[in-house]
Amino acid sequence: MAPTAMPPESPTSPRRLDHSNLLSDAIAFGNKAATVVPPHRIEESGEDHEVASMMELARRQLEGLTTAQPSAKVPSKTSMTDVYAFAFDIDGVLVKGGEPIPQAVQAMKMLNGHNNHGIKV
Amino acid sequence: MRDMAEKYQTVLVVGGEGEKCREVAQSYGFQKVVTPGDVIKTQSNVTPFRKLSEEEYQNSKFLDFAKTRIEAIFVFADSRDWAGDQQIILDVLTSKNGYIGTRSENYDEGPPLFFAHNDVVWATSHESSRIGMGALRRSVEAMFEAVTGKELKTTAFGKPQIGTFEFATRLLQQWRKDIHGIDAPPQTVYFVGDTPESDIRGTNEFNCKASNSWYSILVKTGVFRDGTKPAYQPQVTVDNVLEAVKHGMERELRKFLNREIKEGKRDLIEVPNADI
Repeated sequence: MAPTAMPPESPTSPRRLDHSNLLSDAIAFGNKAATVVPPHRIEESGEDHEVASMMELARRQLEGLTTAQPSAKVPSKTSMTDVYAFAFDIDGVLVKGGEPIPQAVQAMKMLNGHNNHGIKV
Repeated sequence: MRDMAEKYQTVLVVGGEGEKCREVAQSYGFQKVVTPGDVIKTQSNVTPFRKLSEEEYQNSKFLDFAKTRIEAIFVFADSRDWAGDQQIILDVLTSKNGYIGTRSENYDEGPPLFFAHNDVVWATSHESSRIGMGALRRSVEAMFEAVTGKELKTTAFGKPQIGTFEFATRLLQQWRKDIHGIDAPPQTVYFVGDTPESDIRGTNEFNCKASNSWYSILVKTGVFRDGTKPAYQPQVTVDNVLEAVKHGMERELRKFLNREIKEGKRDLIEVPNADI
């Protein structure tokens, strides 16, 4: 699991700002949060936490400089709640020393609908 | 950052590995980006204990100090060489108007110094936290005072600054709109962090200002150690991020059920553990 804390999206969601997208798109540093966490440390070259260009990418999205993609449809089996959201710091919460914490993987699954009520957050 | 790039054309960017920070700064729109590597390449005795590797030397550029006016200094990522970087930062701060090689009489003509965030320590694979950018900031301030006798004012971004949370809010809103077609902000944002001084403080303070609720959850897997009292009180402390997610979801489910009961849509039933 990529150590980001984006709100887990439906599998069809096109634009996830995670590492693999970033590395194919551009450079820089990355990181965090179901929203975005502020610039964090740039790590060794295998572990790119590349916040700044991710934030820039995010900023460009905000300012409409990149074309918005159509909204992904939520699968009908689970229901998406829009009432609340989660935001996560990364180091010490989802990741330790570059490796994801096991509970973080489970947490993301739960947010993605793997819970008794089929709720996706 | 765009405002910064418009305000400051030539900047010194410190921290990170290799050329990454230079590239990031350029992507922000800074016209001319200078690194410590450039300074050392230009005049190697600036840092008596730091020599550039061959790759660093190749990637760095010669500068004309007399024609290079550093307008601001940004520490975007952790320094990999505190000694060398602080020396160069000091040289710029004590210069006349940001020209390396000059010296100000009263040490009050240097450019502003910005830090990407302020966390003194952070959690890694080590059993106790490691010092980070916030520690470097304290170090630079103390060192400046020791050398010049004057107090240095610096600026740090990141949590718990309100601007960081405002940016997060806008981003979340845009994200919800683009990806999920949701046009309204969430009523509650559960923020899960490991550092009371930044994550929890920032969330609690933003909760007072924001129109929606920001609910702070502290985990024990990072900087905060169980058994101590957090400097800033979270709404709840849990063992790890999975418990944090469960807590938030259960709380929301309870709220939902209570509302339905109030509205008469549901009979009053015992809801022991809104079991997620």
